[in-house]
Amino acid sequence: MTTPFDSEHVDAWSDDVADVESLNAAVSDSILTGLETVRRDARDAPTQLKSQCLLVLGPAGAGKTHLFARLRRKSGSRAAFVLLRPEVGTEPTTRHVLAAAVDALKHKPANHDETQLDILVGAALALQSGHGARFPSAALDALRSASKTQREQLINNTVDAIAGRYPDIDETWLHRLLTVPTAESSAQRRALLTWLSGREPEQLQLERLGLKEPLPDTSVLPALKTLAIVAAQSTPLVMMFDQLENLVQDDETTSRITAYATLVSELYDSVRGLMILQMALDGEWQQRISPSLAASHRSRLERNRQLLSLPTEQQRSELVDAWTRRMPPGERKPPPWPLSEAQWQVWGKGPGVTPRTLMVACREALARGVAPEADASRLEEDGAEVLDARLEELWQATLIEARARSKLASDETRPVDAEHILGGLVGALRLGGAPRFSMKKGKQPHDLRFNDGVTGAEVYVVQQGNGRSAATAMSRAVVAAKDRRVIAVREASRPFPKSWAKSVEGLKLLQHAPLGRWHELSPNEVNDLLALSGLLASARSQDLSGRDGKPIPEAAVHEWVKRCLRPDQWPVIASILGEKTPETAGAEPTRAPRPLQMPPGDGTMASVLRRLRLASVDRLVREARAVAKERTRSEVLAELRGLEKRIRWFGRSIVQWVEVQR
Amino acid sequence: MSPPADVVSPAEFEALVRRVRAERAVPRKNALAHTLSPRGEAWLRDALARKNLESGKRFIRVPLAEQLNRALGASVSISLNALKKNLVGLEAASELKELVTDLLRVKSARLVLERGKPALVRFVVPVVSPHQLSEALAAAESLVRLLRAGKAGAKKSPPVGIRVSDLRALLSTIGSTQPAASHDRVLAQLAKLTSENEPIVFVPTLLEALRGEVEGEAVAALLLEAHRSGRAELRPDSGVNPLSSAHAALCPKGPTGAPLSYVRLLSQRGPDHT
Repeated sequence: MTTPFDSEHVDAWSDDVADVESLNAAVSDSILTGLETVRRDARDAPTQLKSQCLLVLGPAGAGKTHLFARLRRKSGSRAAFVLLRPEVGTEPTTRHVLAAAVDALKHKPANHDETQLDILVGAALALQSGHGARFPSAALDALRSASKTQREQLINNTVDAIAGRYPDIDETWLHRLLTVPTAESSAQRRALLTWLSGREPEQLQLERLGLKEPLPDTSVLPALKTLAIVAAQSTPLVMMFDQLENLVQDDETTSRITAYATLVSELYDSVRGLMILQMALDGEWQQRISPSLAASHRSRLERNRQLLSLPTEQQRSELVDAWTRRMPPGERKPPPWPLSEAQWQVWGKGPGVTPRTLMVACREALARGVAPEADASRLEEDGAEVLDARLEELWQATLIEARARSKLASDETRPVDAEHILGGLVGALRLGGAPRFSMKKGKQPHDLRFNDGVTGAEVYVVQQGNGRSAATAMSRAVVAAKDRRVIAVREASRPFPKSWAKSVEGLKLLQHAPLGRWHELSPNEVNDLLALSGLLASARSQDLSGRDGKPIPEAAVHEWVKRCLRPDQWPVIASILGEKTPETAGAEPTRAPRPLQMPPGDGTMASVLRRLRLASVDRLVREARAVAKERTRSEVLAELRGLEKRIRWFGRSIVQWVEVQR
Repeated sequence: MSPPADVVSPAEFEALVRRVRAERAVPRKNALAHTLSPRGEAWLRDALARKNLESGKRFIRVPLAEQLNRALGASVSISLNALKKNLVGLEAASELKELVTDLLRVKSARLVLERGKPALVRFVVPVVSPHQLSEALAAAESLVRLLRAGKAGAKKSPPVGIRVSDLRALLSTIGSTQPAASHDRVLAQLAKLTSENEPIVFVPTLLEALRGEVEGEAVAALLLEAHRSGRAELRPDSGVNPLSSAHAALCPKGPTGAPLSYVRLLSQRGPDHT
């Protein structure tokens, strides 16, 4: 059974979030006022239109993501929201921002049926036709029902009108943006969105659009400027850079912070009509990010700084009330329930209470009311096992998100973004014991480079969706492989088509080069890499919390990853590090983690569970498959059912071993 | 006339920076010996920003906030009416209002009454708290009542006098609005460590600043007291690197026992206002 107290991490895109509006009202009000200013200036004073930049700081669990969800809910269709998080393996660029912006436009505004993109286009058309931006759907319906010639005319008129007010827009990009809602087919729509996002469309997609090239580098910033200006008139873009503590590098270098600051400064100076929201842990920003900024960067990034407040006693009471009101009437009691009066003296009035810690306190109080006290104390005694089980749960949840991300890319017939794979590779290499390595800087051809003590090694992530770009990347890898070790990787599910003759030729040359190595990433490997990148980013942001609500220290997460996921044994990491692996190129690699040696016992599950003491069913399935690949989940469950008196269940997914006195 | 230049020589740039630092502001029209192209202007603007100098339409200047902070450091107070005289390179009158608002917002300065008119002083200058003000006002009212009664009593026959010790006691109550030892010392130090760049204060830094004056454990207790009275907000640790056990031991604790390693001074308007 789930309760409102189980959702301690808000889904930024959820429309249904319990909110106490007085909490940090000053911050959300200042953003909403800023959006109103952008809309007004965009319509009435184009020459005064500029971007706004706000830095919001707070401890973990203070409500940074919640603020994003609140702004979405309050703005409805009157603003378009983009959520960006720094990738671990790459420095942020305007191309990443454009891709994230176009991706985010596919989301629907809170409580609306049309996507942000459709509303943005509809509002632009409505404004041009003199109907005001309040009825975008009507304008869109009119466009959809118009003949092809009329439609073209309407779109051209809109482009002309906007260009008349804002001469610096990219008219070609805008024209294609406005045609997306009326694309002839879903394939045409996908092709348009891929091109608009600055990604590389496949050859077929380019032909479908009548183009020969992807969006060139020189057009990326103009595209962003155009998008921001079109949106500013009706649905200003709120660009939220979240989890900025992930910019901090472990080796104390500041290149990623500088790259981010340069990017945001460029957006602030060159792109008009944006609302740039930056979110970070307050302590981390103050101690490690802010001191690394140049004065010119600081004057932009820290121009308007807001601290998130912790809830007052009254607001804590309202929070508990808002959460309990989401339970069926028969199951709830008046506040401070589920806390007792004595507990309320601590949690209602005590210092340093965040909404997240308060929610976890309520959840624990509720659980203790229905679960035997002995079980709770038992779990506390078994701290290490509970932490392992909790991290296993979090890993499984992150894997689900990673699979969804892969599926989305697959549905859109494009490769997974290279920077996401690279983020996973960087994390796995760091925790897999790789020697010191450096990431790509500027226009360097490789994505990673490290000193292996012999020739040096370079990693190329060849995720290009376009034959020509893939051929260029492969030829660079082949050239590099003449004097140093080179490992090129690509998703196995997106092999080079035969028509990409130069890429195929480059692949053959690389495979025959003595220092070249080609590694195809199985779908499981891709998901593992994406999930690892997400897990490590969340650990840095203190967004992984234990059952007591306290953030799990980053070092503990790293230790668990090394011990339980064993990234050093992942085939791609072994391949990069130059170790011999059993699989050959193109074959399905083994699923990580590698098998662990089981102590002898009375059956696999019994011995595994006796060792782990507490584990999730998913973990047990993985352990079973590590020993015998053919084991299925139902077999594992059947074996667990056979251990009826030796195990104790917590819900349907956690199992604990119970020692029996003989 | 030579065409606009794209660059400024290093020597010329250094000379310009020195001149601006010395004069606090230099008119743009005679800042350089030659005119700059738009590209050159952009470069100069960026290079000046790296030197923490501002480049406006009419002046290149030391930021106004820096000028004012220096002036406040040199003198005890500056009347709002005399503010303009202490600044060089104002681009528009509206900048004055923005400057004062910003300084007050980031707790770099505060307004006090000086001869009945508002004047700016540094934020660390202690002011009478609302509680102390109420106490002083009550004492002053008692004093007036006593003096009036004394004046009337002196006219009576036989005259009724006021003991000198009673008058002294009331006068000392009014005059005793100095910071009350540790509590105000902690809050004053907290205010001193708070700035625009560092709106929250790392508790171990506060302890270090108070070393020799207030005991570590007493600071933790005083911070909890400040939390209860709504003067300060204690916040959980939010650094990625773990807090050292020595530091953690000195920090106040939250309900789960987690150390609260940051503290924020709250304004009188409530916690939502930074």
